Amino acid sequence: MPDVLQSSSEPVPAAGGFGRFSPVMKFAVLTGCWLAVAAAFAAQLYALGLMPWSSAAALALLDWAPWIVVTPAVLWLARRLPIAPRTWMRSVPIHLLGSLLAVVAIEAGTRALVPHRELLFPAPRHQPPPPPRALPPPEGPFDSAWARLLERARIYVPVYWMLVAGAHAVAHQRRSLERERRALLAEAHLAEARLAALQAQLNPHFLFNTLNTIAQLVYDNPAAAEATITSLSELLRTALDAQRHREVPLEQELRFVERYAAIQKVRFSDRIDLCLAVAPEARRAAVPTLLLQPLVENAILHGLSPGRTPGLVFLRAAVIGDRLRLEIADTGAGRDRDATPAGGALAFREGVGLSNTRARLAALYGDRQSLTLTRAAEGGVAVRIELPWHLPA
Amino acid sequence: MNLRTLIVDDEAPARNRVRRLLAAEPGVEIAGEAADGDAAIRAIVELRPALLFLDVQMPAPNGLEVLRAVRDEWLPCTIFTTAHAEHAVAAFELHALDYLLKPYPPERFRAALDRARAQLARPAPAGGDARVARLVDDTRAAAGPVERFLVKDHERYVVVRAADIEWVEAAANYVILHTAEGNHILRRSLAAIEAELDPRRFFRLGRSAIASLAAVREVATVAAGDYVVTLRSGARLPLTRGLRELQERLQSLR
Repeated sequence: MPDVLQSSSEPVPAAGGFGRFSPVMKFAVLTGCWLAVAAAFAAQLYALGLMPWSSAAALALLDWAPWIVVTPAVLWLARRLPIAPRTWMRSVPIHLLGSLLAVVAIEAGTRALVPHRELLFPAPRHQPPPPPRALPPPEGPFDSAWARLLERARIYVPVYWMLVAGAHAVAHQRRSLERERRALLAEAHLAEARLAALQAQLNPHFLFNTLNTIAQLVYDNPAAAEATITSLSELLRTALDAQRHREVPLEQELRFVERYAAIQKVRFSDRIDLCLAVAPEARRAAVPTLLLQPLVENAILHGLSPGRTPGLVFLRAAVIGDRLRLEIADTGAGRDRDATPAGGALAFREGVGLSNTRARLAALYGDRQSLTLTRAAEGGVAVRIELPWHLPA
Repeated sequence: MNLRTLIVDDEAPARNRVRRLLAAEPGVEIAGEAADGDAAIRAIVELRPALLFLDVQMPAPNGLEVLRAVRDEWLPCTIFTTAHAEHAVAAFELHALDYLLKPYPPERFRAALDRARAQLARPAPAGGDARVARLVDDTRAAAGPVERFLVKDHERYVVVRAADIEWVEAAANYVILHTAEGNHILRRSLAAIEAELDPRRFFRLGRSAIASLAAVREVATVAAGDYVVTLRSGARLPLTRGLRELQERLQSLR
């Protein structure tokens, strides 16, 4: 799941075309579209009986084919300079300039390619050629150039803005799809994390081993059997209730973990003990429901002492500035020992429990949290979690 | 003749429960108890119990790893105990082995014990229960590399952890496991032990030696094409193959 979170933090293009196609494909589609536009115009010219189909086609192509080259530039500009509440002051003037530039560029380009566009207009067949004196007076080059530009601008400027609008529509569509995808992911992720936490809590091994322990305690030590049954009931109740709250006060988590540790102590005949060191101001802080139990479970399994002196699990909580720091450490009991000095980062494969915890913290607090593993001063593993300090809702 | 029984579980109340239920049974002698896998391995080879109550889920070595370590010495008729019907249960059923799901009712416990008695009444091969042997052999591939070797040292058994092995030397039909604490002789071929060791942590240097990658201090050229690997203990071993692979493997070690 972390990779999902990472990809969701990438910037989404502000505006853009059909992202799934290759550039060649995109260009082919673009070409097809403009050829279709040209064909439509040609058909219209021909249908009006103004000219033979070959002239109509040539004229339409000359008017619309340049857009095949211009469109990618327009879309690129639209993507770079989206018209949005914060950017329009800058982007609208640039796009205005861009639309005029497109008009001039197309006019200049086609003029260079076909100097005498007028020649494409043949004399209408059903009319006699006008007498020589009826010829319009020769235009000055300046006049005609301005007239032609204006004529083109009348059509091309709206086309330019339609392209910009289209790019925005596509970008908006993609953004909202992306937003929807992310929201769904985050939700699924949270549900998954909750389920994992619940399953970790109701770990069948823990549950049934505890029941087996009780089956024996009933004979050996009825009072201990009773205490274990009440502790187990309390755990089950809290675990089943945990669905309802996303966060609880640390105080409540500590009570839960203490009950859990009490059961483990009975199961493992005092080969393990839990030591709490919690600052008073940390007790009220909000923490994710069932955050500590899987970590304490790990620490107990690693800290179990093979000998007579019990292994120890330390749970420390403190408020540092505006952050809550939780640390769970064990004495290690000789397992997983390596040469890493106290405080050194540990590099071993993390179990499912730990990666679930990481995913949950990330889903709840984004990058305002951290979870690090180090070699504990006590010899085993230390898990340190930092969260923004806040009160439960 | 009394049925010599060993109880293995990392939880004292669970061991006590088996002990209590066995106390009501005639002709059963509790030979011992073990609270972890390493103690279980030693107890099995030293006490040679006929019957074993074995907890599957223990911190390493777990129940199956215990049986794997004692495979060549002695495999008792085994009743597995587990709190959860995990994947191992399918293997037990496949090999007609009995298992108890904790917390099991006393009747279920007695039924398992009766079946074990019937099984033990039949003649068994020298190494112990053939069904357990088949289970160990079948789960060998899935169980991954061997982490513990059981070595007979005169009259006692020593458990040698794979992590403690610096290098393995071939010596006729035996191999010598060199560790910082001393050497141990194991009746096995070099190829067989190579197959059992974790290939990510051990490297075959040539026809007669396997070295732990973590123990390699340097690789030096002594003559054109002749290389010598020096280990942390100072042992110098000729490298006759795979120089490039060794270099790559050493570089990829953290």
